[in-house]
Parts: sequence; C-alpha cells; structure tokens
Amino acid sequence: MTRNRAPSKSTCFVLSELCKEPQYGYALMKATDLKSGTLYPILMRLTDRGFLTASWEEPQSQGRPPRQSYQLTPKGRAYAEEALTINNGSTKKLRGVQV
Amino acid sequence: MNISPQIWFLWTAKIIPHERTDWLAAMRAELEQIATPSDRSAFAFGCFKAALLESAQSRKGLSFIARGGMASLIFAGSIAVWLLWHAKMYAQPEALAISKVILPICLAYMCGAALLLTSLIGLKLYAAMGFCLATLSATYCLFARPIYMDLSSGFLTALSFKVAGIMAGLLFFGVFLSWLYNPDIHDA
Repeated sequence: MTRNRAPSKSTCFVLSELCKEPQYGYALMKATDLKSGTLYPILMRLTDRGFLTASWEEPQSQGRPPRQSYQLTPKGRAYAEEALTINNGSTKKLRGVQV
Repeated sequence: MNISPQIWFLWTAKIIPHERTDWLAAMRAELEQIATPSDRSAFAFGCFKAALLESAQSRKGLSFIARGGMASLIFAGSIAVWLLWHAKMYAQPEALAISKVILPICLAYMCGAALLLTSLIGLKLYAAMGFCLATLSATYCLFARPIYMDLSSGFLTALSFKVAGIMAGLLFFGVFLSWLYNPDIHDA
C-alpha cells in the first residue's frame, strides 16, 4: 500500500534549498530554520525514496571529520519541482522560492 | 537540566536502528560544526528525537510497541480481575450501558485483529494473544458469575467487554502507529 500525499511544508523548505545546490545537514538546518529532529527524518525519508543522494566529503580544515552532503537526484529534482509548484503560494511567501 | 551532546549521542547510538548507523555518523560530523554549547545540545537532542522516531518506525520498534502493548494488556487484565474480586459499586443499568458502548469496539477489535494477520509479526502476536485474552476474560466472567453473588451478570459481562475494549484501543493504537510510521508507506 502506498500513499500519495502532498509533501509537508517542512519537506518543501528542504527541497527548495536543495534545488539551489547540494548542502550539508547543519547548513540545511540554518537555511530552513528546521531543527535537527525534524530535518533528519525528512532527509532519511527523501533518501529512502531515491530523491536524494548522501555522499561523504572530505573536510575543508584539518582535524574535522568527513561530512555528509545531500544532493537531489534527477528523480528528486522532478519531485521537488512538482512539490514546489503545488505549494508555490505558501512556500514562495515564506522562502522567496520560484519554480 | 542541561544534558551534554555526548550523552544525547550515547543514547542516540543505543536506539538508532542498525540500518541508520550511517546517519548517526553524519549527525555526529555535523555536531562538530557547531560552536555554541546551547546549540550543540539542542542539535544533539534533535538527533536523539530523530533516532527515536526511526526506532519506532523500524520493525524492531513496532515489535517493541506490540510487546509493550501486550504488557499493558496483561496489566489491565490484572486490574480487571482485581476489580471482579473487590468492586461492588456499580449498578446493573450502568453496566449495561457500558456493554452497549463496548460491544461495537469489541467487534471492531476482532475485525482489526483479522486484518493484522497479514501484517507485521509483532502485531500478529499481539492480535493472537489479544484474542486469547478476550476469550478467556469473557468466558471467565460469564461462567464465574454465580460465585460472586453480589455482582450482577450485566456488570460482569460489561467488565469482560471493557477488558476487550482496552485491548481494542491498544491494538488500534498499534495499527495507527504502523500506518503512520511504516517507512514503505510514509510520505516524506
């Protein structure tokens, strides 16, 4: 059984940020104003559905651990565009996102 | 109470499902990017919440919920039996009114249990045990009636239905959780 439900506003925020460029988790938190407890479940779900890829990247400064960067897949980009079109009114108002 | 991020991550590591351990490492790496102690604690607490949610969504978590539900049922059943021995405060009309409310719930419970036969293993166990408990409870209450002369048959029947009703409530709570959190059907 699969439910096709419109993505939540929080998911739209994440998608809209990822449409711009690949992002790290903390950067996404700051950009979307979402807390880690909300952001990570969304990222996990999007990755599970094949909309995101998570890749480990070497740190820019020494002594820091590698970080995971999140990037939309082509399927994810199509999904994001569709989702943001549906939610355009509210999302645009809050985030200034245009699709 | 200010719990350090390390403690939160220790608990997070304990509860996060095995298939999500990569995410734990990712969250730890992000923690290193945060300088402010209060922000670090808030971030770590959020990660703990995320892990808790994932744990509840996993099959292991659902099985845990089912087992927790069973434990609650046994507790509720024990309370009901204790009431059977001691309670004499209900009048028959009230008991009949309760039974009228509880009967549809019992029927819904049976339908729900049948539905769950195709579902997760923990909930299958829950449904099977629930059936056994409901049958035992109802049989016991109906046939033991003459022994407890001060309690009316209506009250005893209602009480047995009430036990089944509690089971139904817990069962459907479990079903709702599985519907809400099953990663295969959950929308992002």
